Amino acid sequence: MTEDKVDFWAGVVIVIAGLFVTLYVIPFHVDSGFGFGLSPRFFPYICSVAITALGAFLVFFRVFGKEEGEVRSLLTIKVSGRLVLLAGLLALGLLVMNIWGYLPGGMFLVAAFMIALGEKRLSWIIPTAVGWPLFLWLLFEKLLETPLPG
Amino acid sequence: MLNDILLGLSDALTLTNFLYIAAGVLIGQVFAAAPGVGALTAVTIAVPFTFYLNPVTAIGFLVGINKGGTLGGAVSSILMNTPGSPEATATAFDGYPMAKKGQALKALRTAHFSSVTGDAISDMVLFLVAAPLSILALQMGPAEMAAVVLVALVVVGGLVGNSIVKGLIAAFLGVLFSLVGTDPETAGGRFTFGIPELMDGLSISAVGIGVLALGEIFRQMVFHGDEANGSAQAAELGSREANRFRWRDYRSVAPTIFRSSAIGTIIGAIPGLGSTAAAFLGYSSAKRAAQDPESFGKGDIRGVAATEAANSAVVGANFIPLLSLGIPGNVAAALILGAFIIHGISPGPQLFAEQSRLVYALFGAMMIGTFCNLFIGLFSMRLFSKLIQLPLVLVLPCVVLLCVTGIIVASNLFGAWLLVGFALMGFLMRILNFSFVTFIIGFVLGPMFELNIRQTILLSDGNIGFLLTRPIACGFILMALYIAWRLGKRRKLGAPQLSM
Repeated sequence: MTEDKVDFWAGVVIVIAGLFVTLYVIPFHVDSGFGFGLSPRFFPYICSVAITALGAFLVFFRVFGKEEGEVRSLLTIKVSGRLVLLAGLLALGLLVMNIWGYLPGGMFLVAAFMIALGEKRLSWIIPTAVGWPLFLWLLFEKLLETPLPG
Repeated sequence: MLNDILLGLSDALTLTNFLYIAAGVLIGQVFAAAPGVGALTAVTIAVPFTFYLNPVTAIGFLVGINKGGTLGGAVSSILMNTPGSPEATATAFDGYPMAKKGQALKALRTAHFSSVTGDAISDMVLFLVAAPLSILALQMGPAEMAAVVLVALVVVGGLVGNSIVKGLIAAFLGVLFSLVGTDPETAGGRFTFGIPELMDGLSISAVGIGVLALGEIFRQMVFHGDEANGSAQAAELGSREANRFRWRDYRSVAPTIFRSSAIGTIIGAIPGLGSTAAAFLGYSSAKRAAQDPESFGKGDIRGVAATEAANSAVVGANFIPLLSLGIPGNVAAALILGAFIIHGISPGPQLFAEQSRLVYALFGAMMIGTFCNLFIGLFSMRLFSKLIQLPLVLVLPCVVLLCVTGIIVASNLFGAWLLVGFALMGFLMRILNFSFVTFIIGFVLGPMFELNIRQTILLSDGNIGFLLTRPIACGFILMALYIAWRLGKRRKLGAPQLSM
């Protein structure tokens, strides 16, 4: 997909999201105020309408503008897959941290990301995954007395 | 006035401040020297760790990281032809050929002394210009301030990235995210979805670390995952004689340094431009001014001096709009603005009138930072030449955990969960060429923009004709429209852009 096409679809998504925020999120998830002064919805409306209008401009320019899309977009299925994997690992690491505490979660995060980057040597993974979280834990929990998840 | 200056400087000159600033400079140099990490990541991660410090120490520490970062980026550019940060890209043009000729340490020393000189000059300009500018800014009311913020958003949105429309979308998106929490007037909830943790709004730490640091790390991992495993090979430092940097070497590049420092200072004072643009402009002006321009790109010492002086001069100059108007010049200044707000300080024209002692303490901290950069750089350059050979497969996972730890220390695990969403957002913004810099600046300026627009509407009683009685505000609004039109037209003509 060329960059122009990516911009077109990005514009479409922005318009849909902008309309969703303007027509649903602001009316249902922003208080209406007390009837005097400016409503809390006033500025969110300005922003969401501006974003929707600018998204529409983006679509318009890409439909009627000159085709300049020589550069190919980097957003491929492979890239999306890797991104989902990394985000999933981060979320999983936080979940482990939430349930079992900072040290197991931190060790999982470092080890999982090293493996995701293609590291296979256990002699590198184990010392890093144990040593770095332990160092941070000692620094914050013990030395600086800043509580980390238990 | 003189009393405030002396008291402010004495507040800055404490051992604690000195140690924190020195640590900041060292951290900035280390992070910037490691390709793919960057000093901006270090500033972002460091913001939450400054919560428990006093304001001068905290801001001094962050400024130290920023100053150290401008120097550290040159190390990997010169030794590996791989810029540690975007502003050091042009340093590689002549720095790497010098390294290949066995003059790596001389190139590093040139970068070091040029960087410190550029930084010191821009600090001096800041000290001289910021206070008078803030006196002028004091004459401005909410309508003028709202118009200034609008100009800043348009300039940043137009100059950074490949389309002004996409830049403005990013800016308004940043402003929209800054509205999460309670309404400042009625305390009504906005976008809180019944989650108590969102009542205080989104913290700059969660947004900054997610979009800036983790977004970039995800980009590195997704696109360079396969290359991350290898250890990089740096150029050798070469013989002692070939690497000696003498006083006459400094004198020979002094005109280049001063020209580039002036360019960097002017660029830094304009919101949205920033050190990468300054570095390239400094380099090209040095090449144009040279009698033998063909020597540039083949290991000319002036090429290194021009780039490093220009990109470092941006650091101090960025504080001119930040301190006098409350407008951050670039993303590092936006993060430092976030730190100001966290510590209960509102940068802007009132700051000089109400807390001048603090401002002069900050100036003192900046001078300490420049001194530390000079002193630490004398020893750290050789050390970093070894450090930059650490493979990314070790560095990136450790930085991810540092980011998570930073946000837990600053807020709680809920903040860490927000990181996942903002990291994805930061990654997508990079891939789709939406400026994350503009997004962050929009996020930081959002509350100020809203407050001034609200006050203007209340003062005018909703009458738009009120603006006609405020010529300065009208001038700024017209300027914003003109800039938007000019930048939009320039992009159509295919003018070069700054990617960020």
